[in-house]
Amino acid sequence: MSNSDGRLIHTGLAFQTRPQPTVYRSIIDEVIGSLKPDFDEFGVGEDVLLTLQQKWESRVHASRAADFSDSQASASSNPHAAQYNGIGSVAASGGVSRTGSPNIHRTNSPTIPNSRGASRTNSVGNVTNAYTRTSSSSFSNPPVKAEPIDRSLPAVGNPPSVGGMSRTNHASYNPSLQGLPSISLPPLSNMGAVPPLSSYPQNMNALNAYGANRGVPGYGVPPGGMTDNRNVLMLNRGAAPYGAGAAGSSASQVKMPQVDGTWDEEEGDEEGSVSLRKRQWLVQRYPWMAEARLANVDTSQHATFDIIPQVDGPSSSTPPVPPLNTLPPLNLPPVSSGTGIVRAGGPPPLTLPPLNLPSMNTPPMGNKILHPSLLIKPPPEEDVKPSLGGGSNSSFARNPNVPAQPSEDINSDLDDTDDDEGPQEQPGSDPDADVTYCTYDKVTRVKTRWKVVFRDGMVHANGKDYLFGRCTGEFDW
Amino acid sequence: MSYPYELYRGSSVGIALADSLDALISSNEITPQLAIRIMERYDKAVCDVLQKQVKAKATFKGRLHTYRNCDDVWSFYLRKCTLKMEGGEQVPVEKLKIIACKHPDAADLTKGQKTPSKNADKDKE
Repeated sequence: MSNSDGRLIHTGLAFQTRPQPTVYRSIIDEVIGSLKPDFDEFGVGEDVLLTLQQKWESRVHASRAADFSDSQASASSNPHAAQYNGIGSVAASGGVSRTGSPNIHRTNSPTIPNSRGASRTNSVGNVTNAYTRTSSSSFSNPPVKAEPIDRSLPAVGNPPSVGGMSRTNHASYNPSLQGLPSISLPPLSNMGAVPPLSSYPQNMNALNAYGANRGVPGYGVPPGGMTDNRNVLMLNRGAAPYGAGAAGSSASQVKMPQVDGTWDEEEGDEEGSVSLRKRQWLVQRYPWMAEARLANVDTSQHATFDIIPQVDGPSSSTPPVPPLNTLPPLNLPPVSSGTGIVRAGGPPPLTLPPLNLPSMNTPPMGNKILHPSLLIKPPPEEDVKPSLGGGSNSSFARNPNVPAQPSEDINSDLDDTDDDEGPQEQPGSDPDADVTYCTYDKVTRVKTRWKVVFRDGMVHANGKDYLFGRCTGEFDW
Repeated sequence: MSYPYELYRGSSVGIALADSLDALISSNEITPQLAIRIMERYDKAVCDVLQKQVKAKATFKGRLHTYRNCDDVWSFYLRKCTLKMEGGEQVPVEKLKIIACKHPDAADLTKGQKTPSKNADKDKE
């Protein structure tokens, strides 16, 4: 069905055919399930793992890229999802069914993440409270403010095909998985109201014990160590560049190198340029990626590097260096060689030759190795002359009493950026462009006719995610 | 066969994970090294899950604005394309960027085929 703009109007059938919720659920479960040894190795508690899962699920929900409303039904039919029904349904279905909030996924109200976050927080708090509370409070007077009901949703009393609406007609939530303790929820007197989650401590306790027995990550966590610092972040899709991260790979795993090509939003035909830009973005957005990468680098590799002095003067970040002939004489023993290159262990003696050397040819390098070129090659004549503003701005010849001026020796005409031509549109520079990540089986071209075969794709288009296992494409260039 | 590309980190679920890890690092609950490990786990998991669970077929049709191939990574920039899903669902997209890494089973067509030379980068104005 299409509207006047030719855009597809998603029907219920279309939603049901989209497998993203189940797939995303599987991805999250597989990642979380495989992280237990890593967390043990790093000495991080499982409460953090649970927090990570909750944050991840919250953000996936908040992105609204996938509709999780029908994942509840699919979760019951999917053995994998059902396996983690106890904890996994927190995001896919449990969060809805526990809170009774009918408008978690389908509304555009900005209260969605908050309501979800609040409900998730309460559900976590239930686990904690299960150890402290001895009696459950009644549900007769819900203390939580009622949420606005989404007008786009069907009426409250409609058949429960979406999300947590099913709880309306059921006094208890009985998962189909055998052995899973049933969650007895009090009847809802008002579908628009969030029930007090303090009435569920026994259920959560039973779920917790069940999950702990089955080895589900995040269950059996002591109540004191559980934290929930969620802050639901609404990701602006357009503001997030769609670049595959290049950082984060370690040599511990055998990987197919992905050196380039996933970061094409900027000009960079050279491999290093693309990689550099990619890393720059990653460092800017996720500084921990760079920190982790730097921490993995063996610092001993850098110990053998000789420091080459900067021969064209100090950078703008360093203070101006006065010429040696303006310094007071140093009371140092004369150096026989006169080269000034003496460095071999121990406390570094100051072996700069005294002032009998050509003053302008010897930059003060402290205890660093001096480059021979400094003693052989004299600087240009105009750099030697001290200038008082109007002449050269060379840092070597600059009078220390004169404040440093921005040097134009480097930033000269050679550094023109050809702005006269105006900004050029780069392919992929539009942040609003939709993106597809996939692998290719075949790419062929006949003249301007392209035929491609893609596999394992994740498409983000028009704010929604679409997944495909195999895709053919025909393009005209 | 598993091919843990880092490609899918830019997807919705990958960005959600990265943001979650960023929040945990900011609160000093995990270290960046552990976050890197988690991202590597994600790379493997998303490839496995996509291979095993996603069987849907789709079709792209549209105008190719720019193409590029570098280091076995194809980039296609499409304009006014349509994604047709298997169930008949059609998604019109004004601008679409396709980033495709080489599948392990991909045929090597670099010889004897009329494929563009490596590092080809064409802009159609």
